[in-house]
Amino acid sequence: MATRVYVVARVPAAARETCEALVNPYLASPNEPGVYTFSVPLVPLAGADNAEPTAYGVCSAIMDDSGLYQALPALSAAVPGTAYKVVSPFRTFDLAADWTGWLAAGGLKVRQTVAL
Amino acid sequence: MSLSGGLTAGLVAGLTSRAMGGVSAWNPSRLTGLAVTLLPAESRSRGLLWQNTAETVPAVADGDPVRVAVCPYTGVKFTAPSDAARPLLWDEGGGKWSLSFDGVDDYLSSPNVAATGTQVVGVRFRNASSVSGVRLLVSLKDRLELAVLPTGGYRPLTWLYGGTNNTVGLAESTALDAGTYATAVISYAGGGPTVAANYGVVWNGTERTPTTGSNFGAPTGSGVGGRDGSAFFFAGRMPAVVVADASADAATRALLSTYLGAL
Repeated sequence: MATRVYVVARVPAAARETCEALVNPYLASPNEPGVYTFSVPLVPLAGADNAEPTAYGVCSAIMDDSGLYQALPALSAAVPGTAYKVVSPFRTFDLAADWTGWLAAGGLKVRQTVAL
Repeated sequence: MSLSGGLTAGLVAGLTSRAMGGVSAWNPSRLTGLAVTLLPAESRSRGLLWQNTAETVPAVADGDPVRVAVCPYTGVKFTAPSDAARPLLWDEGGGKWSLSFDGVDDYLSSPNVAATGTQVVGVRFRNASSVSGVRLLVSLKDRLELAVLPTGGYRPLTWLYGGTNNTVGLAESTALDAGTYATAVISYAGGGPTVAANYGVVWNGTERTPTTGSNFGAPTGSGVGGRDGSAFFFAGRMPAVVVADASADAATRALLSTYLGAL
């Protein structure tokens, strides 16, 4: 029986457009103009909160028998510097551990440009 | 329907339904100026939740992602900007449903979530267990934000007016329990957005006195669960959001709060 899982992923800023094109065939609906799948700007953990993004991240729920799930290893291998993590089932997703902590382990954090 | 007429009808319906042991007779359609609602359980039962923008794949099961949610009363849509930004339908049991926001990039936007003159916003939500910092529940561009500070904050719920960088907040000293649902109804009656007395706040069924507090910047976008360009996406579950472009007096706030609290 298929299980819905969360996938968190990060891609180098320079490879963002390439990665958008790679995942686009697997989307149920196209993104709006100017909206990206990899929409979360990420900056070096040790740097300023509002530094220029060096990577972009995403968190998406998909089925573990879907085409995107099956393609994840090949997609990641095709673009150096990318990384992803699967959290299964989706109800076990923990923001601190599976996103913030996972980013920190990779030397990244979410970019913040304003106090709120 | 006039404000007084709507209020009277709402009160009668509310009192009647309470006497009958429920609150089902009152619903947000009785609010003057109803703009849009996000009511996953009701929209689901009416076939108004969709996984895709073409609205060909319904969202009905636990875990189904919601790209489009249609308000059962106004027909106005909430839309996620991308597939990755879709919140998930969550079976709460007992016929109750909510939308689960991942805290990373999930949010919904609607043309009817916008700043107007007077306004009332109601929301029922539950924080995820491992959340820190400010998280956005409802944002209205250039106007205000309804935010939650799950840990470490002395104002877990804050109604922000961005126009002059003044905050009108709820002086709530108790930290929110991540395992408990909370309900908030906040109305703005006009007369000056930085004056606390112009706001009405009901927190978990109890009318509270809002206060004026510290400064925040004006929100740069609108949405539920977050907004574009923000790093403070909501992590948790929401069974209801109600936005009306008219203020609400204490009696109407109480009716809305009771309605939300039952979801």
